[in-house]
Amino acid sequence: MEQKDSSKLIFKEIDFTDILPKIKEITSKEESLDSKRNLVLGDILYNDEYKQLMDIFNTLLNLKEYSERAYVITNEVIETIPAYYTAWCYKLDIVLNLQKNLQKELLWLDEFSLENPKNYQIWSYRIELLKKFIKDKTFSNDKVLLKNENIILKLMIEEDSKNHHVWGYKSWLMNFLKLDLEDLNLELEYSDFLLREDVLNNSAWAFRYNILTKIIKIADNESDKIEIYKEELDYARDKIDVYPDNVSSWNYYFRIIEILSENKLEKELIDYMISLCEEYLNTTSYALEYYCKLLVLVNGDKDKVKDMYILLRDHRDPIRKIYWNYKLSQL
Amino acid sequence: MIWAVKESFTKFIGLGLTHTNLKSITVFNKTEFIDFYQLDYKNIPIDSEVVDFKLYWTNNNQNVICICQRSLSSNKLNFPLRINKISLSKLLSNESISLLTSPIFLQKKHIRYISHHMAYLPKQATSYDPNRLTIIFYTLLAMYLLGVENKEKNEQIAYLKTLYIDSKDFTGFSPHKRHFPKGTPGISQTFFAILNFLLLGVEDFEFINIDKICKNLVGNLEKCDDIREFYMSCCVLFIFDRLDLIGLNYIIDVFENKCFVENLGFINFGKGELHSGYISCFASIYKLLKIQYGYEISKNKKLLIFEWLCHRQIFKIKEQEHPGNGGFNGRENKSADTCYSFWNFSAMDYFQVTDKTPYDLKQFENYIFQMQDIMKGGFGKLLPIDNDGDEIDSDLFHSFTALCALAVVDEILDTTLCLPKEIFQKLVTIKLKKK
Repeated sequence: MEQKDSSKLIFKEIDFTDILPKIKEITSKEESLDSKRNLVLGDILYNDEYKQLMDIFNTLLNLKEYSERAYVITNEVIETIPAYYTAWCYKLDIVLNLQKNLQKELLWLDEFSLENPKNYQIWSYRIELLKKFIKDKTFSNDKVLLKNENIILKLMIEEDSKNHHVWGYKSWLMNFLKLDLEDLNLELEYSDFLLREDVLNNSAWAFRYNILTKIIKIADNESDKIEIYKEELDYARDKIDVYPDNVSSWNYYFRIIEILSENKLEKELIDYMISLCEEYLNTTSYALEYYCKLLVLVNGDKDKVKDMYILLRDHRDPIRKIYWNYKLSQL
Repeated sequence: MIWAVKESFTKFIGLGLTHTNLKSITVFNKTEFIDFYQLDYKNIPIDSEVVDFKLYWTNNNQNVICICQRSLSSNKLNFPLRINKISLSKLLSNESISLLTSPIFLQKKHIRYISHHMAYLPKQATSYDPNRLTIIFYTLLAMYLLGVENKEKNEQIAYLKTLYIDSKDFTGFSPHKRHFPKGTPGISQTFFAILNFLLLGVEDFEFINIDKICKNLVGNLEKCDDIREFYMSCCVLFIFDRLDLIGLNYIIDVFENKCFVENLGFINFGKGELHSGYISCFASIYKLLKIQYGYEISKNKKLLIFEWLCHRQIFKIKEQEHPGNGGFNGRENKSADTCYSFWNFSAMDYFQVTDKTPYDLKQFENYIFQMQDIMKGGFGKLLPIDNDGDEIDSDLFHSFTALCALAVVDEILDTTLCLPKEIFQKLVTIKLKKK
């Protein structure tokens, strides 16, 4: 607090004396109400600086003041209580009203995001800025915009490769932008880059699947689609070879088998998956589990499935005993 | 004989009848007639104590109701009591009947830890100011689950009522009226305020403008693209009997067309991957739809999620060094994290297709008690092995979710709105007075 006498209000070296009467008007009612209370219930021991910050912020918001000092105060509120979305909305209003440089604002947001990677509001604010960029045609096309966005997203994923919020935004972006095959293939390559770093990264697998469905959607014809799926089967198989005890790669593999089985599943593909499962039968319980899934899918040998369920239940995956018993009952 | 009595003592004590809650919650009307059998035990050495106790029990429709009372209190059976009903099969099985009263459960330490959060929070908690009503709910429910009698209910209700705002800009509850004179965006603080009231026994919400709150909600729901916000909104509409304002078809349409991915499951408006926290939101909304409209999800979808949820409990036989210890993760290949015990239990509550829970409760019990912070009480997030060897360090959120998970296993918590079973059941049966 930098207040020296009660007739002046200086905060963060900025003069707010002119709004002092309004602050008093707004806050007097709540103050009297709160001071009557004896009960203590989840009361935060706020310091005086915070109380003053909020009083100034609320008064400026009430006055709809769009000024440099309002911008400073709003940034301060966001730094102190990042979860308070009202401050973010007010910030955007100030930025637009003062016609501030939006690229600079985005840079500020990048820095803030790296410091607060689990905050929800950064993404909502980012989306608002992005929509503004598109409206103003700041970026020549979606390709350039994606490239620009990927810089910060890659940095954040490098920090925490499974941050659900970052991945949520990235998949939103993929749906929002109009992307061509070239863009999508670059994203597919990016997922491969991440999986080479950590084959267990389920977020990267989920992202790859998301991109794959987009590629399939724009594929020219049925045979092209099947070719793409088969390439992905090979891809997943390679990753199983790298680390067999990985549910994500088995899952990815089998999901494609399921899609292909909507038409007739080629015998070659069935045999290929059987050989894969048999190869790793003793290495990982997933080989057993996905072997069963395949046999159930293609109406294969029920006795074999039964034996494997029992093996899973009694030896390989006993924590799911009730689940395996259920699967047995469904045969 | 002694062994058998000890077993029955711990089992019956295990029904949730600790000394603190022997005085607490009303279950029966005094006019209700229940034929109790009575047994007296004297000078029974149990653990380090020698005690006399009485055991009252009745067996009604395969439900066993037991009351165990220390003889020194009085000769009569004192009502009101908190009594849990459990099935005969559970009583006779080897499974623990109650985790919240287990000798390994550090009840006193947890009470001390949670009670710190009820009073003053340090200035470092300032960043949580916009979510104060959530913190209050975590502490009030945690204290309830710990069997602590709440002697300040009326004062708390009166105080929470003062946080209500009805203006042209905002109708609902503000976590702090001076700091947030127009509330905070979204429904979360109003949602948690209402849960707090329900938990404190409020049934009459005449003091708030229900119509206006619900009408605003419906407007926001159309723009909503986050399933947590969607869930909280549906809950508020359900509580006030206004789900019809958005209707069954709208909700199903959002689920099927904006969230469901074939062969995969429900994803938060198509963003990211399958996640137990979000799945528990879908599950709880489905629970509401079942109660309100008798609606059931298709068998295939239910099975898909059921199978996925079954795999969230982790224990790998082959990885002796890092088996996962029976805890739960929220996504594939992630470490066990305390809060996911609750999210998965909560989700499974709807998606379960087996008669019994498919989860291994013995393994869960071993795991969850390891998550206790033995120094300061409460529960931590990660096991030291998953956290670079750092010792368990409790926090409010993981303590709250751990207690909720324990309470689900003890069958005293309903996961739909995360409220005690008796309160939720009452809410469902009694229509709240509307404005």
